Amino acid sequence: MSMTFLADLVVILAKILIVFLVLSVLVIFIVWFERKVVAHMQSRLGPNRWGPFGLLTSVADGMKLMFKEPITPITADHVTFALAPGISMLAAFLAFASIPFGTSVLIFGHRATFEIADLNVGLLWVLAMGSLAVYGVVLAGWSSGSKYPLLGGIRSSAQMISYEIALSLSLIPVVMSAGSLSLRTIVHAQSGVIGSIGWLGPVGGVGKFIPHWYIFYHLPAFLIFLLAGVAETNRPPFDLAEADTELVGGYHTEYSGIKFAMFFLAEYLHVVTISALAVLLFLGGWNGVTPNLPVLGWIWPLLWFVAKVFFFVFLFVWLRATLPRLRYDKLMAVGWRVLIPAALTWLVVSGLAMAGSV
Amino acid sequence: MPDERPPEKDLGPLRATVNVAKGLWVTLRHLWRRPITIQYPEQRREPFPRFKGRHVLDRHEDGLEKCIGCELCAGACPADAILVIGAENTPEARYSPGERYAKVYEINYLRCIFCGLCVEACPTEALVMSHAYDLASDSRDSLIFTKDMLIADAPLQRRPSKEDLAAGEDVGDFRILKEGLARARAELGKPQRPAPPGAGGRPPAPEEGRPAGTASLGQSASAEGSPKRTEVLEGAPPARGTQAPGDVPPPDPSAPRPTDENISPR
Ligand code: SF4
Ligand code: SF4
Repeated sequence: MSMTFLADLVVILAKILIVFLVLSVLVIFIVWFERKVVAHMQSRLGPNRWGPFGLLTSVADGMKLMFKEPITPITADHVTFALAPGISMLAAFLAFASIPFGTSVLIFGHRATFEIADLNVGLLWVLAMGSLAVYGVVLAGWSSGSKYPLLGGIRSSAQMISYEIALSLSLIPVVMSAGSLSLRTIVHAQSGVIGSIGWLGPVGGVGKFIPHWYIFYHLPAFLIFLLAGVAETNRPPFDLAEADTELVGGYHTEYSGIKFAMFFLAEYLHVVTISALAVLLFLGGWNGVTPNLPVLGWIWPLLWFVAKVFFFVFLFVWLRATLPRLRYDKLMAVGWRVLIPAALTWLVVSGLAMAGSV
Repeated sequence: MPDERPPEKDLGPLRATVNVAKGLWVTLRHLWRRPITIQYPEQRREPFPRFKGRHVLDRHEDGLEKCIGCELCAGACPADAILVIGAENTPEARYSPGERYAKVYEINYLRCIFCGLCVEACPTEALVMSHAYDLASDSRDSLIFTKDMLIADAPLQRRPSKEDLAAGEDVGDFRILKEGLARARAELGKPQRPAPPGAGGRPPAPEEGRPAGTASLGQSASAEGSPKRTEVLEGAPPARGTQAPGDVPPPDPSAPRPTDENISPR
């Protein structure tokens, strides 16, 4: 075993640890952020008792959940019931393994990139882990041995599977443009500016100020991705699986304590994942609209990335505060009759455009 | 079973998008608005003038109790919340001007629905309702208020008579009553069992026992109300020469008194 292998191992482990910790703290922060923003959108104050601006409220909530009694219904399938939240959380964390969030940094002569593993099929990995999360939900619903969770689980599997098609289809044009499934390569393909736009004629020069982000090429795909992404994370207005008003809590009705917290964690991790994907694939990742300041080095791109991700997190929260839940048949209709055909159409259109420009 | 729902009106994608955008705009606008939350208990809203809060048993100007132990309030109460046990006044121990007085007077705030029928029923206007509304407690026992918790240390100012109201001015609603109650609040302090005699007479200490940030309402009332209390208490009962053991000594001013914060003068 060579020294470089050991060094690599240490770096990888350190990265895993850091990503895990940062994500956990981030989720706690996002929960607070969501509660605060939704509260203000409803003319309320939101959490303000624990810590400055109530920042520690989520920490307190987490502690409370940890010490709560874990209840398992007698009708539950005990092993699956215990495993389901783990699967959910594991899938949510694993999706992050291939998400890059910055350039790279030189530590002790070792160049460490800002991701755990730069897979050449990184995008596929993220999508695969997203699909794996369905298992957590379905198994939770089924193993609870109670009707509401079962309904929630079935709904959720139908919803997530149908929207995943639209989600994946909407990403293919981007993959075609970048010519790679590696997220890092896709981001690199989005650096620079568009350059002068021929068909705009004299005002085509504005293209020199527009960053070369795929959102400007694949706007329809971006919108489809956004809609499908919200549905994929089971967030309002597509939170059919939880649907508090109809299904009590959906698949996690019977869960309490730390297991419930794990589902909670997974949901917010998915929000971060989808936001990160949107940023990486459509908004140029860590490419800013301003030139990098050499002093800041790797911090500047990282800041850009975080800022963009937070924009999307805000969007998620904003949608939640605004829109009522869709009816189930409407949801499926939107998924199958609108989003999938639209994604397919855009796929064909961009394919033709690419073929024409070659 | 055939689907009997009326055919759905489809908005069409454009209208639907516009509607969603409108909704998003509304929530975004509200994000920058000032929240309307009142942060109880640090901030309190002043109740409306005729608000029906916790009861107070009034006294006459000479310090005698107005309640004559007639039990009419208990009879009127739809929630069966009041317990009155009357007893005869004697020359040695005179509590009220009439023949009888309320030996036991209890209101069970677990039952009371704050309808005010008891106040209507009272022939001597002994029973009035204050603005105190924070009656939460973590024990059932402490929500049964006994006579010494309910009774005012000094006469409350009365509600305006018809003539007062006709004379106009600002007496509308219960302004006078409210001021009287504000004084009573300052004097009563937190409802409590009587302190041992001799604890009174100390200068009022309005700051004590009040959590920081609570001072907004009622502080001035307590500051100006308290000296009057000592005056009345020292003056009234001895004039009758019958300082009965049941008479209420002045409450300990250092005791915490968060409960009645909300009776406040305009
Ligand atoms: S307010 Fe109504 S319920 Fe309460 S004690 Fe009086 S009569 Fe009974
Ligand atoms: S409070 Fe009024 S109605 Fe009730 S017993 Fe006393 S005098 Fe009678």
